[in-house]
Amino acid sequence: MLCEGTYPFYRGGVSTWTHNLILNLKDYDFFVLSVTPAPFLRRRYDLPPNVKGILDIPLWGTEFAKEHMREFKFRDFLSRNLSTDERKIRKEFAPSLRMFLDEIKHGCRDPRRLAEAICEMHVFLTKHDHRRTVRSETFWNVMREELFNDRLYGYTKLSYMIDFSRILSHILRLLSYEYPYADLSHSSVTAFCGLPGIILKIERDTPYLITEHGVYFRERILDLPSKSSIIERMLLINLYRAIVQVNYYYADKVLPVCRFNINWERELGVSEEKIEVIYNGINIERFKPLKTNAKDNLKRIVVMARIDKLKGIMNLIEAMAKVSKHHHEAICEIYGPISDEAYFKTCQRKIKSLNLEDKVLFMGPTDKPELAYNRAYVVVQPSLSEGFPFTVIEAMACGKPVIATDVGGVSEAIDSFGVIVPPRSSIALAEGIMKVLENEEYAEEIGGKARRYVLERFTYKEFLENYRRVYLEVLSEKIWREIIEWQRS
Amino acid sequence: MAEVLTDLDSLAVAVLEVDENVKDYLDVAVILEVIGVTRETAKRYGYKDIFNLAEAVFKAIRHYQLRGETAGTRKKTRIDSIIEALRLFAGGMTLGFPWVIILLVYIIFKVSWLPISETPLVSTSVNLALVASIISTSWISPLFMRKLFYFMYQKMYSAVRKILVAYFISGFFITLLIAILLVMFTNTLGIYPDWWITYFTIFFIALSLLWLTTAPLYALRLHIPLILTYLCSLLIIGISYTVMRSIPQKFMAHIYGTIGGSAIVIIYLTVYLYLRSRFKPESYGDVKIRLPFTLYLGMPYSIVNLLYFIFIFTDRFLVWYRGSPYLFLVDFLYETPASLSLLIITVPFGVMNYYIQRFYRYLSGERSEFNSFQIDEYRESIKKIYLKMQTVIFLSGFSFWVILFFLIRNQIGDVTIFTYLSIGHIFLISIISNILVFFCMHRPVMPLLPMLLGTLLNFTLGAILIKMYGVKYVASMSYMVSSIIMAIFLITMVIETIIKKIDYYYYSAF
Repeated sequence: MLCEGTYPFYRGGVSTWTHNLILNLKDYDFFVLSVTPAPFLRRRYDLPPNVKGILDIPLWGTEFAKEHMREFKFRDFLSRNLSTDERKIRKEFAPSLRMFLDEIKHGCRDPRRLAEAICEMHVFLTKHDHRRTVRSETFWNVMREELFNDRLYGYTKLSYMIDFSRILSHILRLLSYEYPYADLSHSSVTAFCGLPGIILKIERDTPYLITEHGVYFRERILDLPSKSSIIERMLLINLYRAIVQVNYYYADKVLPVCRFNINWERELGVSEEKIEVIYNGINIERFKPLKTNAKDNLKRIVVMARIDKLKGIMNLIEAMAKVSKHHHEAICEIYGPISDEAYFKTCQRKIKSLNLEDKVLFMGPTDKPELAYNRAYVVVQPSLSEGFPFTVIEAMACGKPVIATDVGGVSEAIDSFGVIVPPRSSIALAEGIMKVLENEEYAEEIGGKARRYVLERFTYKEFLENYRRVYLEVLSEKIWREIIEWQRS
Repeated sequence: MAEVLTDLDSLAVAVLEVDENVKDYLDVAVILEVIGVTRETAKRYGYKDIFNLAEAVFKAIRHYQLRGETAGTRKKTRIDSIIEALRLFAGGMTLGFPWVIILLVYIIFKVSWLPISETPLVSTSVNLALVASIISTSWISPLFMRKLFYFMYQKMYSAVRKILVAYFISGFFITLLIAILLVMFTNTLGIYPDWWITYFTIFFIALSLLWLTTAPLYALRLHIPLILTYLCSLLIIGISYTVMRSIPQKFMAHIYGTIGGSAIVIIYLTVYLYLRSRFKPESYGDVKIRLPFTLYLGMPYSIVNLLYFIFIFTDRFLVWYRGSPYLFLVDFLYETPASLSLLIITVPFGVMNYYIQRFYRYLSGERSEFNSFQIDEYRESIKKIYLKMQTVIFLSGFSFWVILFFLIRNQIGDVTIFTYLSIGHIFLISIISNILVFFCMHRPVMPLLPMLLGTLLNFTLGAILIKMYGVKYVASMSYMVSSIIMAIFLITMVIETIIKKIDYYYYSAF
């Protein structure tokens, strides 16, 4: 299982999906390869017994690749370090780096060429010292020749190019690790963590699957700093596009979690036959209507989201200003960790300026989301971008009316059993909330229907059966290929 | 929102409000989605899907982009720049503050940080302990400090704690070991009396502990706690002096002050780290410190630091060296101008700090607008700033020397020694600035050879000239000459290696 910035070190939708999949596919053994921003992160999930190993690959936070690994001995480091010199780098590493950069800067014209470069760099970096390689003059000269002297990218600020080179040198750390043997590799995102999957596919013909929650390429565009120039953005976008394209090219199957993603995948060149939607499933024994200890007359509007720009919390606050004018009994409880401290402070200032201190409450993260949902009169999901959010189907399974923005696969999850409003519109969000608050019968009706809809479509059983089937399909295809090859030989 | 947008122009404006630098239709498609334009809206506009609509909107956006409309950024005013310059200048001066504070407190309150004795043998025990403790601890802290700084930057406070504990424990045992070896050595010589060895050992251990504990404050640039430590140390000594009567008791007051200073730093660092980790919970689990990697990284820094301190104390060894009846004996005539000449470092230190920060900022591109085709111009601009830094260090140093000379000419004693040492100190600041450039580029091995040669030159030149012309001015002169030579060597080296490929060195520094 290939993860990036998620399982088992961070909580969130993708981590929940990964954990549920591993935990419930007991008949499969997993090895988790997790790309992280820093080493020694605290694990947020207890690893199920069928996880036979974990390799965390921090891209930052140590000066030497593998320095954080107990198994990596200092004498190995020294011998690698001594065996890495400019001559070797020039001869064995520079050509593949050149090829890699040529593909990156054009957003991947030929995925096979890009993959070949990645594999060659992997072979070199597993035998030589990563740090010495990326700090070498040869590395720098190739970067200059390929990017700095490029007719287009040469016009970017030099400081930006230096930063970009550093980022790239850190990403290449990923290629300095030896990956464990696997019958199948499955990436939870179409990102850099997919590179091991591609290498395993090329080197050992290991089938490779991608599950796409949010469309990685789309989310990266959203994340791009708006201050950077057009050419700077183009370089970053082309880097992401190249990584995404090569992932798609080598994936045996691309498995989006909702139909919404298909539009983007098609646009990015994935063939129809590779795509199959597998919706997320939830534990219906856990997420069900429960009695809670909330005995007041308040009407709770529950939001389950991390505090982040993409989650549209500011819109929600503005909507609450309108709602609380008409409904004094309404309070909003936001459950989730703070992932963007500056944004959190802006939200707090907004709450203060609108005098909503006792109406909008930040409750922090919770381990018992089912209780939070059941405290709710209505559950709101105000995001600006989503894949196929667990929060929506979990709330629906608890029999709660859901009001959500029309992003990603939300409308597929809700269908007609909830209220869908346009994103970034606090007026529409407020109207949606008030529509439910003012009509108790309607709230109960859509809550009940929502639960039945989830039980029909988004259960663990369905979810796991789909993945089991896909696993078996790609594994048997591989076996067929091997048989045919054996017969030929 | 999408409902109010009725034409492509309004959509284009709405997209530009979110991000004025969209570069292709996919960029536009993302923003259209987040501002609430759905597939249905696209169909209402007469487009097949959101991507077709995005293509049309992007064409409209190109029109605005080609008009060159960009968002402006607030430019720094002159006052902002002056305030920043003053702040950096003051920050730099604090690097030399401990010595200045000690000197000022002595001049104003007559509280001396180290015991003052009119007997050369007693003074020798204290001064030799001071120099030996600085040299013997100088190489320990750099072994750990790079990693400490690194973890601090990463906000891995538990790792910082671990590094500090490892550093303090190893520093303590190394100090004890060196103290034992020094006692054995002085005993073997058989030339110093027992009380001398006892004084020397006590002061050596106390001072070493103080250097060990204050080193993290220097590394983490905690200037105010650093100054407070010395002030508290002096306060303890001052209070103890009023209580204590006999000379041995008064001697011990200095030990209490020194150890008190160490205790204050340890308490400060413990509280500092506790509060940081308490109120900023970290997302890290059990951070493993790999000592071999830590030491491997710190080793070259450690050697540079050791050579640096040997270099600056070589003149003392040359002046104090007697051979018989005592191996070393303090020369009071040398000590007064030597101590006062240290005052010279404050102003060039401030200037250096200001320019080194400017140098870093230019490196990081904060103030430069060069594009990738203009690498040669970039290198040239860095060279200009670097040369300006060196020029201003020298100019400020010499100007301040003139001012200082007129202010304290009656206390100086021997003017020649003061002059030689002051000039040496001015060039020393240049040496430090160059070492910082190498350190900033994470190339600590590069200054090793010039440092070693400079130290050898200082020692050899002094030893040869003493035999020819006697001891009086030779040590300070050889310090001055070797400082000048080493500074010129390092400046040439920085220009010819680092600055010539500054883009490469800066890239690979991290």
